Amino acid sequence: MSFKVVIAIGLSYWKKHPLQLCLALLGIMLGVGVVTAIDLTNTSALKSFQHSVSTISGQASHRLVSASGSIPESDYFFLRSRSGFQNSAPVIEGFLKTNTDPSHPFRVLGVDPFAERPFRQFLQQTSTPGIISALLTQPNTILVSEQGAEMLNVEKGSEIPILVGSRNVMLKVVGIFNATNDFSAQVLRQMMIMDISTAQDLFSMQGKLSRVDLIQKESNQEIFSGNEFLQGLSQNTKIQSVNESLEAGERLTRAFRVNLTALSLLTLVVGMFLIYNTMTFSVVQRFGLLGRMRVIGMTRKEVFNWILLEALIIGSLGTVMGLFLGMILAESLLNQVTQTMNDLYFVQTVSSVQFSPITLSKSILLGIGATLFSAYLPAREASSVKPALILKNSLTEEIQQNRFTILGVFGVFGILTGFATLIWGSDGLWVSYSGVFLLIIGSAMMVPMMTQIFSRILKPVFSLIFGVFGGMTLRGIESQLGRTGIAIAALTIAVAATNSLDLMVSSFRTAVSSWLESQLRADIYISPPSLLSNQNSQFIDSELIKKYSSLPEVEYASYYRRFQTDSKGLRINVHGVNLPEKGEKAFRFKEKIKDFDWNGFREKPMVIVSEPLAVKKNLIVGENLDLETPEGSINFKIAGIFHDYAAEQGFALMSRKNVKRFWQDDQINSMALYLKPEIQIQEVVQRIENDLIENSGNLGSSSELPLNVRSNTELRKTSLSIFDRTFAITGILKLLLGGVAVIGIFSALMSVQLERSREFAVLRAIGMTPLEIGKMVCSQCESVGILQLLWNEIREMVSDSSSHPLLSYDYNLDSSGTK
Amino acid sequence: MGDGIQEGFSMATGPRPFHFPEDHGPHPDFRNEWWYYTGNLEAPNGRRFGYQFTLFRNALSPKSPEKLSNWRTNQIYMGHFALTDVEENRFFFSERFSRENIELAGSKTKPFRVWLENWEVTGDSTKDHFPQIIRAKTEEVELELELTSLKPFVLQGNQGHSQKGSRPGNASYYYSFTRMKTQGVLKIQGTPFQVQGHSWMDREWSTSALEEGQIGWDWFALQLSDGREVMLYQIRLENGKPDSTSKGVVVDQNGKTTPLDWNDLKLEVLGSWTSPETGVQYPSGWKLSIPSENLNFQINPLIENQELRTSVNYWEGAVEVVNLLDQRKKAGRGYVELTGYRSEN
Repeated sequence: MSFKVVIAIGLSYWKKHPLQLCLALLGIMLGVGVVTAIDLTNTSALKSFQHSVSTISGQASHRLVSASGSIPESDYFFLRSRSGFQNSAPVIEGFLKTNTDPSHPFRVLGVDPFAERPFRQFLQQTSTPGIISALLTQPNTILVSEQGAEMLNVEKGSEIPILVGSRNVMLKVVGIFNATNDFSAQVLRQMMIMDISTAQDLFSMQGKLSRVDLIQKESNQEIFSGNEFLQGLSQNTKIQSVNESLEAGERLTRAFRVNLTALSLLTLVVGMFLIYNTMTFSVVQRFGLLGRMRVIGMTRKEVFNWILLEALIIGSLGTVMGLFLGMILAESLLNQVTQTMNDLYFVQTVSSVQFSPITLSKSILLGIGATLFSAYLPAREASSVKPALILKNSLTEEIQQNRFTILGVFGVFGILTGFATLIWGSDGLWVSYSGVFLLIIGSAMMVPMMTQIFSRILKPVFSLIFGVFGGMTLRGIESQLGRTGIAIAALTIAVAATNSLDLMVSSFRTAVSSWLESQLRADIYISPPSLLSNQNSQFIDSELIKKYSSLPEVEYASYYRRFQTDSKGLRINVHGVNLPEKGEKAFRFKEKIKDFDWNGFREKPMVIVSEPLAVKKNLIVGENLDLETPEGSINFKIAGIFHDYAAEQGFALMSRKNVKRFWQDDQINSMALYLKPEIQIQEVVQRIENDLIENSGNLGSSSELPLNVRSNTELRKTSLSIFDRTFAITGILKLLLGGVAVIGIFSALMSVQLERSREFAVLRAIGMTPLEIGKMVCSQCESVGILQLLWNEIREMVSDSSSHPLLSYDYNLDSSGTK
Repeated sequence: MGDGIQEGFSMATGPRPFHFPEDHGPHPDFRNEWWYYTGNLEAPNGRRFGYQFTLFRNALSPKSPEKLSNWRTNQIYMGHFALTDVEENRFFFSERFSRENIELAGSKTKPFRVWLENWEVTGDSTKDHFPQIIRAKTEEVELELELTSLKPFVLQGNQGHSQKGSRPGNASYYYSFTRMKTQGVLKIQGTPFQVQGHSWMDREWSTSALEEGQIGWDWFALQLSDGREVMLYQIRLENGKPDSTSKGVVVDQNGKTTPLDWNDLKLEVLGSWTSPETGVQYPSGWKLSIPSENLNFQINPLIENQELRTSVNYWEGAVEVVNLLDQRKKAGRGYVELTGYRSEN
């Protein structure tokens, strides 16, 4: 049979059923759209992260870094003056907020103009004479890019008010440089270049550098390979290739990106049900036609291909529409994603969508592939129609119902495998997701079978209560399970996904909120402003510590020291703290040694570890944790594991006494004040702030930074608002997913009703009024909903328990300054 | 480093007493200052080398800024280090900059030290601060020399006050050690050479700048075989003529100086060399006669390409002095600096 005829026949059918066509297209479009949008968003965020790293690193191949976040500037002096290593440049990197737009922090690069030339070309790209002189001799002078100047609406000579902690500082633009290409223009738009002296003053980094950039050349290769290079540098300074730091950033944000991808794939799966539904419906409606076609000589294979071809055309159309939708969606999602990556990981990226051909072709393959996959069963069904079988679908329903039983069995298998994966599988994110996917798909596959079982059980009950119509309602559902089963399945997935998302997010929020409440027992928290990505390198001045600890309102002061050390060759975060009794009581242990007491914790070599660290490093209560100290490796007994949501990598907590004893370290990263009863917290906050402002005034314009002073209420609010921002994107995805599911339900129910027009005619003929028929149809739809809900509740009871840890594992709530 | 504001800096307005060892050290209230070493060296087998080692100090502003950060300063240092390998016709040069910082760059008197990363010149705390040690190292070449002066210092110009332009204060304080016995080791691409020879050191500080119409200068420092030295500089004008402030000096075997006016001498350019890298054409080879001193000789570059392509392009190289009256006699060696030449393209 000619191709043209087949197309013509197909077209005439779809022309008669435009709504069905639209719904199918919409389903594919939304599915593909969401997948495309998320993929574009993820790759754009990642790409711009890479670009910002490479623009900022310039020609650097390596860096000298330290786990503590800063290296002493003496390391740089050593390189230059002792080793004579010329291809090195000191860098201080941090972030500043302008008063006008504090939500978009500027990346600040403090550099030494004399060391810059081999690395970055910012200075060569300015035409202003005397620029170096201005940067070196005038405090708070900066360079901005042309695009940055445009955005800030400034020109050479303008002043930009910025916030440093709670203090206003005016930065003076002394030069404007041109970016060499579009990418760097985007990165540089949000960037300020300043002399290293200004950067040290602004960030209170006197004597320290964020890192030293290095260029490896043929002539100095051996230096990089041997240890000789590091001799003479301070103990914690390590050499790292720029690629390594790129990978570290990618690893950091991977979990977040995987979450988004998984959600987008779920949307596509729901979209697939929609396609399946549409194609099956179109096949069933055309059984007569298909039978006749077979009579006039169309082979099974031709029928099969015909249906697949139709699916391919619809799929392609929907995919193309989806691509466009994806691109539009990506624009708005990207802002959310970059904001979150900023909030959580301090990885600054650029908000502009990068269209990659790989993403687009992946979406095309996925869209069309999903369509063909979903159309496979309907196509087989169509090709199995016997010639001249004009009678409607009693036979096929029977086949289908058997198929549902098989499907149900597969579903059970899927659920079991899902559980097994979650329980015994590795901790990997994709493994966990596969487990949850199997659970959801498995339970969706069980839907038709369960519907059948539910309606059989409920039929006598309904007949008893609602009489003959009640029975008819459920019988109708059962006999139409070919349609309704799929509708219920699609709805199950959508509701399951949205419900569990809601549940996960809200219960996670509750957990975090109550955890914050238990953690934030102190009344006031004081910490250096989080202007640098690593806070371990910022300390509170000892004078100020003394001053604020001895305020008459203060009952107890806790001090926090955070650092990293090696444990059998692996880096481990260690926090040292002294807690008052009520702070100790707030600890929520998952597990602890039998005879645990806080006195022992203070005095003996003992640590308690956070749950993420325990999971990652396989730590067991009662065993020892080896930690490197200046005096060699020391065994610390693991006295307990406690719940914590703040540090993704986890940390070991020990008493400050132990930090002092084993590391001879008396510095303090942040402090917490417990006030006496009846004291107004806000008043004390205000007093400390005033005192800081007064102090900084005395020290001149580029003085020590004031500290962040925050009450526990304020801190909790900030933490939760970061949390809410993080999950805003899942809210958007949830809506889209729900949208697809609603379309699925709509199309399924509609198809059922359309199909039953002959049945309704018979019912009318035997005396049913249109109202009665309407009632029956409505109650059938409601019953579908009830059955779905019933099944969903059961399903959720089993699967929720497994999906919660997934999120708490992935997300890291950085309530900076609380720990 | 010579351009920029003058206001607020000290000016060399007239002769002043020199105090040593203090004046060997920095004068931060003047805008520019340099410690300028050049020398001709020879390996035991007669292989010849030339070196230039200069550390410049430049103040970006008259007052030093308020500082918290160690990096905040108005003083910056520039270093130029060049080595001429005559036999292989090779010329190595490099430049580096740094701001003043105890660990990176600086200068001090007691003990004497001027440094820029791992380039440095050190001496003791005595009045003459000799012997001095120069150490410099780049990826390709390395130098470690010990310098001992054979003559007392020479105050240039009018008792050390060297007028460079018509405006008062457009002058420098300038003294030289014109003959310093030098020995040490230099390494070229890893190969060490024991060397000895003679060096010349110029010390100058000022807040002066080239005046309108002045485009550059030619500077000659010649150490004659008979024990005398000749220093002369001509400041070139746009019209090709020497500025009236162009001067010279002859130092006799005992260190006694005879000032030279430009009219006392005749300098004739014999040829030119065009840099293939920059396209700049430099004079190459001169005929110099100073009738009053009975000097008549030719000055030839040891190799043509001794151009430093640094932040400012200039030619500074080792030269051979040939006695035109008696060509069999070696007349001497020296260094020549040519600045302000521009490509014609």
